[in-house]
Amino acid sequence: MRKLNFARLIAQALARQMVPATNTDAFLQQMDALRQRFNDGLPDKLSQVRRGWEAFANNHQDEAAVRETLQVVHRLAGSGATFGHPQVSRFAKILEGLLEALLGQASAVTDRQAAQARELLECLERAAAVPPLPARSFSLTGAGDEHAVNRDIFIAESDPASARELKEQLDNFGYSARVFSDAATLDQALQETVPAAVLIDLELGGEAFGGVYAAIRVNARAEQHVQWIFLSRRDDLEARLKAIHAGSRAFFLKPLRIADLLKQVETLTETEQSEPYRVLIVEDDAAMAHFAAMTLEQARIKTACLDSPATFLDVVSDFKPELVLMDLYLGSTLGTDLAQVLEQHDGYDNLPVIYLSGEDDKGIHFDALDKGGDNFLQKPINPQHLVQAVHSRVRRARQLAELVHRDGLTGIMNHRAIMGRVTELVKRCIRHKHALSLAMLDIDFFKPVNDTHGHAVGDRVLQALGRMMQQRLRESDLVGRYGGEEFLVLLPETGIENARQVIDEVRDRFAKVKHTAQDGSEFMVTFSAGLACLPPHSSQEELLLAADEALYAAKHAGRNQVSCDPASDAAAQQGIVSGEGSLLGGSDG
Amino acid sequence: MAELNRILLVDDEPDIQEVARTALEIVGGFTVITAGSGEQALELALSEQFDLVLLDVMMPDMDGPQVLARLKQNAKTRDLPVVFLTAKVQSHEVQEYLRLGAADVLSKPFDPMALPADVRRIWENALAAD
Repeated sequence: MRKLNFARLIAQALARQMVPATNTDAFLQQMDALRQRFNDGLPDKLSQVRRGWEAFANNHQDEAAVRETLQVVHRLAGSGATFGHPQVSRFAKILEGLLEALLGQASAVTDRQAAQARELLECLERAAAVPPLPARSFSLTGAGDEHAVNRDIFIAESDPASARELKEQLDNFGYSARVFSDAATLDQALQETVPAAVLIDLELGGEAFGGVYAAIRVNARAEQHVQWIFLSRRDDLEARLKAIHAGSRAFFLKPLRIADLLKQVETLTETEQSEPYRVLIVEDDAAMAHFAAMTLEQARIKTACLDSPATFLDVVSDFKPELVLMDLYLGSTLGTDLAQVLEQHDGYDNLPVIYLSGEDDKGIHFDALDKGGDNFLQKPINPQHLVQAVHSRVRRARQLAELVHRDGLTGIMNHRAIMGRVTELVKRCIRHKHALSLAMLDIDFFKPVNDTHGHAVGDRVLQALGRMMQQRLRESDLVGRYGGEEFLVLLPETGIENARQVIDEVRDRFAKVKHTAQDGSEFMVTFSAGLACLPPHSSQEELLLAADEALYAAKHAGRNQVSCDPASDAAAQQGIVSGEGSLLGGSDG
Repeated sequence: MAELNRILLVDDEPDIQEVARTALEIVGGFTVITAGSGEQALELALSEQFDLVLLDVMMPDMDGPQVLARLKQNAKTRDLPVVFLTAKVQSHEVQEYLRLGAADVLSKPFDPMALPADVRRIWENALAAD
């Protein structure tokens, strides 16, 4: 069908997002019709899949029938979301993987595998029964490939003034907030978009638990997992329990402390953008392992599979899983034994374990939980339960790790954590040929401060410096406590000159801060800093040593100043980007 | 300057064929010729003129990679940019398609509204790479 040239110009503009409404409308109308037709054809396709599956399960020989079934499932996986059925795509993709694995295995399908396939078929059928999304929206959520960071926030709040204020604050921090004044409009919008979080008034619509009931209704309907954050004037247990029952992830009292709220919202959206979770699947049934891996990878979780315990510890050490999915019976080895090995192994003792088993014997469950397990999932496994169980445990593990990595006094990274980041950043900056500046800070005459004013006051000085650095430095800069009164700052993608300016500004400000002694008198404290840069330095050891020497030079030259490693300085002045440090050994002291 | 105009769309699934064709025609303004099988696609590609081929991977009889190999063997179609449109997009699969000479890979399920712009972007890149 040929188009007029004029029509093509409009259309090309459309393709470049300058969308004339009439043309889009025509297209969307056609799309709606296509979606409807696809939707109408779904039951037929699904019964074809079910028939094919039963034929296969009953008679493993009938390969032609299965291949045909597989073809239908494959097409559903590839087309569902295009026609407004993202969940159909998702479950079909998982089912496709399981069927391929079953087809590839030499032995007959086991009861357990058959049950798993039926569970997936049911998920698929349920997903198909949900009305398709309207043509304007397209969502792949749950179908993998969610690389985009979700910064949509919904606010469900009946008081227009508070809603507006909240929206403004969130928008200021780069979120895109939408306000809904009642449950119905919120519900409608949630059917089309999945925001990173929904901030909901406990008393939405002026009703005692209006927000709770709205959330429960959405949870009952929604295929998607909504992240609820409740905002409440009430602080009683009943209110908090009701919010929990509605699936709340956080509970904030009004008037809102916006900083705390932002922090929580940040952690919720971070899950999307941070490193994917890593899960090790230990399962001797290859098809079941494949199923679990497919399911998790659809949710952007990285997986590794292990079918026998022989190389278990090696894989744990190489892959560094954040959670282990463990079959209860692995040939002659018990999953619980492996979990106990982890529990007694230094460094892995906090690694969460979820057992997978067909056992419905509660005694075995309790015993397994007693022996190093965190949870139990019974086969056949519901894919959504699997993803949720993994998500909640890894998230908690990461939060714990975060706490473990913080210095208790100053709240910045502790020695071990910051050194880990040094190693990581040096590697990354070398690989990407980015500059990396490192600053070593040491408070001047700190011992006299402690001796004169006591340790409590000294601690407050350390806290003040930690806080100031967190506030004054960029988000990408990393601050850690290196030793007693020594701090380490990493400034990625920053040359020595910029780093000097930044650190010197902090030095200048800190020197002006008045600290209060126990007797109410005021005193001031300064620090000295040494800077080094990569390049010219090319390893962690060199960088740390050069910064340390520069710090020594700063101290030597009279303290309260920032000094640069001569080699880094020279390289910057000559614009040299090599590791040759001909001026090494020079001193500006 | 060269224009992207004629697209050969190859997919054995009628639903997908239709939604992709509608999007490419109405939103993209391209001329779209469709083929429902690998054989038909080859026949069309060799007898008519196209600017780009959108090719499904999993098709009975002759699959996408086989079609691509045949196109690469023929002088007339050797330089025709071929884009796979497929649900098989694990990284090793994508690498394999690119090794075979595909210009790029678009994943299924796709967003119909975004498809024309994606196709144009790939076509422009392929042109720039020449």
